[in-house]
Amino acid sequence: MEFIEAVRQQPFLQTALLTGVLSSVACGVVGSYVVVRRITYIAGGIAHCVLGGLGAARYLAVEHGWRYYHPLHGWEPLHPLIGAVVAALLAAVIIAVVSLRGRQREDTVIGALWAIGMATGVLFISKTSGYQVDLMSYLFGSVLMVGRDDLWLLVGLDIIVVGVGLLFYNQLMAVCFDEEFARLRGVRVEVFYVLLLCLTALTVVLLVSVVGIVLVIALLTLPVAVAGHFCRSLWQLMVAAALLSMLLTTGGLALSYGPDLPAGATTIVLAGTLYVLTVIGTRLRARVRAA
Amino acid sequence: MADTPVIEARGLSFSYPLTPVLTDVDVTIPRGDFVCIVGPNGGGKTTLLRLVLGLLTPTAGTIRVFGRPPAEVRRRIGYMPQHVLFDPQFPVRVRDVVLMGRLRNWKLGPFGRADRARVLAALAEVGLADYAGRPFAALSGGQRQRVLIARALACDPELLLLDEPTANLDPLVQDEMTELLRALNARLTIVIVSHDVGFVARHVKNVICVNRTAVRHAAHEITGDSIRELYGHDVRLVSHAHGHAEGGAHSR
Repeated sequence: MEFIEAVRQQPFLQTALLTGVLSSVACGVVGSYVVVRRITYIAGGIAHCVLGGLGAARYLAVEHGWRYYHPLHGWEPLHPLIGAVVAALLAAVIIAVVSLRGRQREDTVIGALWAIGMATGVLFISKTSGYQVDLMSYLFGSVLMVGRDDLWLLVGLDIIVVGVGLLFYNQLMAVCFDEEFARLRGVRVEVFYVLLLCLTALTVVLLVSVVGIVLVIALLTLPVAVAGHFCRSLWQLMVAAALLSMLLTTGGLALSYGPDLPAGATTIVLAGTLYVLTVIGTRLRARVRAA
Repeated sequence: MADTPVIEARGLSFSYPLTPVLTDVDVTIPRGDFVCIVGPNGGGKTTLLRLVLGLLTPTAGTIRVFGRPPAEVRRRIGYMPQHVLFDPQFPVRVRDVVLMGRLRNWKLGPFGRADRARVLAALAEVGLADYAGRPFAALSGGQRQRVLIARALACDPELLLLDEPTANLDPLVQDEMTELLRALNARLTIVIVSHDVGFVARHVKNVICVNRTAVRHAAHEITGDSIRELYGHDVRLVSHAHGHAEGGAHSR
């Protein structure tokens, strides 16, 4: 109750709620593809490369005066989220190429990229004048720090990810379910695999704003894992996971507000609890049926 | 172009590094044929199918399907793989699997009414009309195989390639399957891979024995005994050339 009152009065809480709801839609759609195709580890690698992008963008903005064009405010210092988008897409393309060419061990390359991305970010941040505390807060989430002005970027990303993810639903699903058959139907399997990883990259950027780099994988996969127990088809899974994700991000924010806990971590613990309860519940139900 | 063979291989060879799988294969399959490919494990049956589909590139020789390179005519082929390596937790209904047969590369958005009708017709043909809404993972092995045949039929193919279509079926369903394939043969060319010697002798028109190379027989020339003899001979040959047999097995 206290939280609802606070939301009514505090614009920053409204923005935080909206950010959670927006990213939940992308989370449901793309998270479902990620889970059924079993590329969670790739999503993790991409997420950690985001720090490199955040750091590089801030470094270029502060030390070299790089700017970008904001549709409402005109030219502004380069936004860290733009760096995040570039780094995530770059990581996605590198991993896609490695995995399609198959000349290197894929998991080794992902692990390397994971660490190098983070290390690059740390180096850039250390070489940027001033104390960049807000960048470090991207590690564990900073949904309360999302400004009204950042929202347009997140809305744009959300529309792209959800739009593309749903328009090519049939192709992406076929590539996830039976790649060889999709290829035989003339589907450009490689193109759609790269597309899937790029969608994953953009979703990761959206979620980084909500729960932070380190916690992204959990929010991407746990709602899908819970919904998976109740869904018969991929689109049902997407809808259910999106709704669950909205519930979790909103719930996490509400629960953390009173005791002044970090919202990102609260959301993830909430999601983890729900997942464990679902697993136990399904087991018990199966046992009752068997008895 | 009624005279163009559906499949024509000339001097076709395929090898993995250090392990030849097929050597100098000449095969012609005319339109309307019903052919069974037999041979020992690792003899190159699946490799031959994958060459016909254009999923592998010959190391020597040529293969033409409908007179063209395989990759160009894939959409005219309906293919049922021996296994789909699928995740049992993948949330997909029978109908969704068969709809993949209606897939096109850049078509946006959901499938249309015509595609859905075609899918229901294909499911009815394999006797699974009532299963459209069931989860694919909940079906038995034999039912899944029939769903995959329905998916191949939903492609509206001129050539049907089936890898071990009778492997998981009980005798009653096998008979139904046989009737189905016979009926389909009236409008399609059918090539199956099978270990089922009885099936071969009774139902197909021609047999191609594949073991490193390929030999074609008319089905009526082949009795159960002669096939067993052939296998026996082949098996001895395989035990002589063990490395080759294992190399071939990787192609699966």
